[in-house]
Amino acid sequence: MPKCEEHGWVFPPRPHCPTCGTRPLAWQQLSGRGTIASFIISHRPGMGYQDEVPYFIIIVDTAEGPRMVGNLYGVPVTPESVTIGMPVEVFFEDREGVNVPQWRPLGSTVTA
Amino acid sequence: MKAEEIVIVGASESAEIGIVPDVSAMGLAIDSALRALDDAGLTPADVDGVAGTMHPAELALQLGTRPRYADGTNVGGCSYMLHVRHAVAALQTGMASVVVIMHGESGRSRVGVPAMSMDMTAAPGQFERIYGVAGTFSMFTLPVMAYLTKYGLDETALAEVSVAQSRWAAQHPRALRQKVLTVDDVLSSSMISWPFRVLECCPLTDGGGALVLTTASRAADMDLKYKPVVVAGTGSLVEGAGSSFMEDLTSFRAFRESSAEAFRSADMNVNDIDHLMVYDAYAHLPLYGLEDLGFVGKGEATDFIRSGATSPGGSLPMNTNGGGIMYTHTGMYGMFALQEAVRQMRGTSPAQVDGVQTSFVQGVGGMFAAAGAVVLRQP
Ligand SMILES: [Zn+2]
Repeated sequence: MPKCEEHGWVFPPRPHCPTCGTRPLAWQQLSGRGTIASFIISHRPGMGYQDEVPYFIIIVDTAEGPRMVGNLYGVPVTPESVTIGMPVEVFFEDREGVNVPQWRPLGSTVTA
Repeated sequence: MKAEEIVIVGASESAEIGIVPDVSAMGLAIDSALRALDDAGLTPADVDGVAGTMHPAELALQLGTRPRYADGTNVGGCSYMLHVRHAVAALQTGMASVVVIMHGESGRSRVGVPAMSMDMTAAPGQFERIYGVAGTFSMFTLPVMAYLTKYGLDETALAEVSVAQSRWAAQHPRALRQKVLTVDDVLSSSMISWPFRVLECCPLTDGGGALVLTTASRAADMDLKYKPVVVAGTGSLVEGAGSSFMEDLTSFRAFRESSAEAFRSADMNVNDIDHLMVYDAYAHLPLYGLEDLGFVGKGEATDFIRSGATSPGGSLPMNTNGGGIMYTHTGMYGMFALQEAVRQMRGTSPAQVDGVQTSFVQGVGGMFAAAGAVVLRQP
């Protein structure tokens, strides 16, 4: 993720800092950890998800601060499986040739 | 010098709304515009300003005018609130003398509109929609669990919104959903995007609407069917790209700031408001709206709605057409919220509230991306 030395992480990624305009920005690695900030369970399939309903779409507060959307894997797809604040960690899933960040409970080893 | 008062002298929806398979989106807009002009005894030749989310040049051509003023602002469903705001400035500074704001959308029948597509290049496309977002119901809804959890609320909070609004919709012959609902009815309707059931989500419809604005002095010379409605104040804010990019998942900054500016410019506060419209594509928006506009404290909106305060006979009649969820939702609903507010001011709503002196209309655009507010009052 791009980071401005003075103003921190820039997400969604932009070539410049939205606060001070500095460019270019260096990319740095995040810890890959976060907590669930909000979620829904989609009962209608989106593009590429025809065989997966129902599935979680979640918002994650990363440990470093920026908020990201993803799917949650590794728990039964029920509202009871998830609590706000639940710790999660990132893994990367190959979706039609694109490597996208996804989420699983902290310590889980599922890969979608 | 005090700026001249700007008034709404024409307001109309299209002849038909709901499911209209034989009229194009443009046709719905122009039908509405001609009806709204008729309210003021005007014709297209009198119009020198046009606004809408459709291409302004095409709107002008189809209506039959060469406007000096054109506003094609499109920040989603609240764009019409911004069009009102911009028209006020244009009329006060002499950039135009008669502005028509038009909406037409064939959201359901898709007549005369390009095939639906999702923009996957902008920020929401790259960072939200790729995760199986099937429609607005799986993205606009995303922040709500943060909100419900923060205030110890459950799924019935959303159902209460639909229940209250169904009591208004039952009085509107043009509403798509006219049945009076119970919490059980709502909770047992089919699941779309947990915790949202279908009766907590807007339907997709066809329809149009238009407003005609001019100066109070010009209006005094017109042969008006209804007394003019004064635009007392406006506000707007473009916050960001969408729901996951909100500054705070439990409160919408653009609601807070656009409403504060509207109240300030109208020289009013919440105690001055008789009637309220809060854009409700989904049932959580009136909860955020009541709180962010300051009508109730944080986390108190559900109890307020459950008490009947926003229902017929309550202290703050809200979404008196049944809202986007019950009345109609073409895609960009903002125009219909404005239409119901004008009806309430004119005294012509099928669900008329007695003695409405002021109305506050709050719109949202995109998915928690932008907001626009308009305050109306009697002359
Ligand atoms: Zn910076």
